[in-house]
Amino acid sequence: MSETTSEWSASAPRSTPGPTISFSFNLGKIPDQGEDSDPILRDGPDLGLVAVFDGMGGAGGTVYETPDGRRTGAYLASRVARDVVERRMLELLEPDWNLNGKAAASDLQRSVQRALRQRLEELKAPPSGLRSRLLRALPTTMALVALQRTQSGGPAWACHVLWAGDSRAYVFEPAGARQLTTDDLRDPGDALANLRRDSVVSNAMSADTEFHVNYRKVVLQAPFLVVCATDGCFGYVRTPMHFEHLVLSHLEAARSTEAWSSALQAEITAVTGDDAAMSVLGVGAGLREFQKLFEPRVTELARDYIAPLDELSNAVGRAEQEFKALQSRQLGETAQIWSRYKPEYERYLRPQPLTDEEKDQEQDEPAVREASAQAEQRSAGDDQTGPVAELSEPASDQRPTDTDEPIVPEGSEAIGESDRQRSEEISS
Amino acid sequence: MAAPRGLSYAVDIVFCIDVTGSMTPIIDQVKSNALRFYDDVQSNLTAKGKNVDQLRVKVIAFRDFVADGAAALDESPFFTLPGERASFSDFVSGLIAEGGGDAPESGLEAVALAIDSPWTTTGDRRRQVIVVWTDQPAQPLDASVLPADLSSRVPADFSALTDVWEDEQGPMGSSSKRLILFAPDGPGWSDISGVWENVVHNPSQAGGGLSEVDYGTIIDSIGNSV
Repeated sequence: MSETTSEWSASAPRSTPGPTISFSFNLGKIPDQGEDSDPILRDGPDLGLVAVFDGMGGAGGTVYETPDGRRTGAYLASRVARDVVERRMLELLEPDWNLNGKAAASDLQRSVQRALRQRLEELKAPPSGLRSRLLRALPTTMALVALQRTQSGGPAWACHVLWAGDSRAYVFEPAGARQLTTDDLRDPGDALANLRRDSVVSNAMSADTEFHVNYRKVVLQAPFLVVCATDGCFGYVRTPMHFEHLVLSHLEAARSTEAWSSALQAEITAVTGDDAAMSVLGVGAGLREFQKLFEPRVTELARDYIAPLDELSNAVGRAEQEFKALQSRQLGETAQIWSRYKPEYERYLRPQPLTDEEKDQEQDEPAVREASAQAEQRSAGDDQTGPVAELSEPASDQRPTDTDEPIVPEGSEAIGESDRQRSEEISS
Repeated sequence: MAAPRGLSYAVDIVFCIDVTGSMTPIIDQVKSNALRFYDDVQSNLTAKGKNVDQLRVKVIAFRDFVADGAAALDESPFFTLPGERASFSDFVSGLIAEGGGDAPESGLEAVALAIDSPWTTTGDRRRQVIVVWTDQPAQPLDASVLPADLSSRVPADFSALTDVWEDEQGPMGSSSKRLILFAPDGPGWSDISGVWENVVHNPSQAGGGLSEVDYGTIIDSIGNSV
């Protein structure tokens, strides 16, 4: 177990363990510019608090000057929200007092809004000249799970889920992963559709737009794992099943909680196109027990979901490669076959050597041309000169066809007798 | 088990550039902004490790169909970058600001034709961006002034154009589209930024006076949200 700081103490005797293992990480794609904040991860014998915050770079890309240097609104927002939410939840979440989830949601909404507005004022940024409903001042998402044991020493836990935006909370139970949050999206769909659709977030914490904090409560039976994650963790895998497999397959092989966390971070870093933050809290079992509990599920996932999907995906990849190779072959072979066919096809389009008869004819032509020009000049009068003379000579393809001379484009071979006969047959 | 693999991205950008006479003093700046815009979106995506498998750009240069008739439009094909960068640059460099008569210009027709572009269908995720630079308000749509070959591609009025933009089953993906307007506050453009989703409007004369902060915000709104 990665031992976490215990904020709460409990004196009641327990028969089932409370929070046992935990870890969190925050991976920035660009060092020191990650727009997710460090996650919240707190636990006590009868309580747990897990949360992530994703500064929204698309909506909050505006850069502000701060004492720490230039920071985007997204970077600042996730950190402001994290600090406020952690402080408020540590006050609201008590071992012996059932959390009023709806009141907590309203409290967080007011507290975060006030803090973000105050931070925006402190930044004294010049007003933006841009108009857009896509853009927000200091926007961030939040996904939070607060756990309270419902009965001292018992296995049942009240799971309070609070969120705004498209970061997610999950519970991983031995029978499978379950999503606890509903993505706030303009074009909402199920988890697979949302992976593909990449919709705009419809509700997020910010300093300049109204937002709400969603609340849901479920009761969980230990042992279970609670996971909060930003979309950099789950939004870049092929399917929701792949995300579950990604988390659990590394649990299976891990020698320690730290090793599990490291392996997860390495795999998420390899596939993600965004900053990624995750916070994990295991309740009711230790690492070895969780490995044993989830072993059948990992086998089932690999066999029934991941292997068929990957097989299909690989088949599509192979088919695409084969298609590309075929296209390339088609182009190459078409060019090759055309080059075989082309010489005869273009036979009459290429300059051809003159026949002896044509050479003789060419030698005679200057005299004929001169005589013809003189005749034209006589008939046209004094004011018409060169151009008329040139026009008077029929072009080679305008020669009369009622002579015995074959039609011969200049520099081309004469049409043979058999060709002429065929031509006449066609025209008749 | 297959090795993990990130998602692939395909980005299409259509630049609608006003090339009427009034753009003469700023046309060179707009051309340079168009060439820079692609580079900046590309950098924004790759900085976050997003594998851009395909990036294409297309240019629609527009004037005023009322004043210029068929000469009011010059439309390029999509250029796949970086391979066809030289052809893209040549097309942009060849644009000349002239004609157009009096304001307003045929900017809405250009937007309609941009929406009707043959957008990419490849990639796990797509971003389809239209960028408009103009210094004039837009003419109301009027099918009677359009050449016959264009009339089927341009909606009858602003309301119909809005429907095409907002249509989830329309030519552009409902989540992947963005419209960036470097255009004055006036008929056509203010109507768009007031009503349409996924629009960022910089009220200006073709982007003149745009701050670097606002420019960065625009680039982030395209690349950082995909």
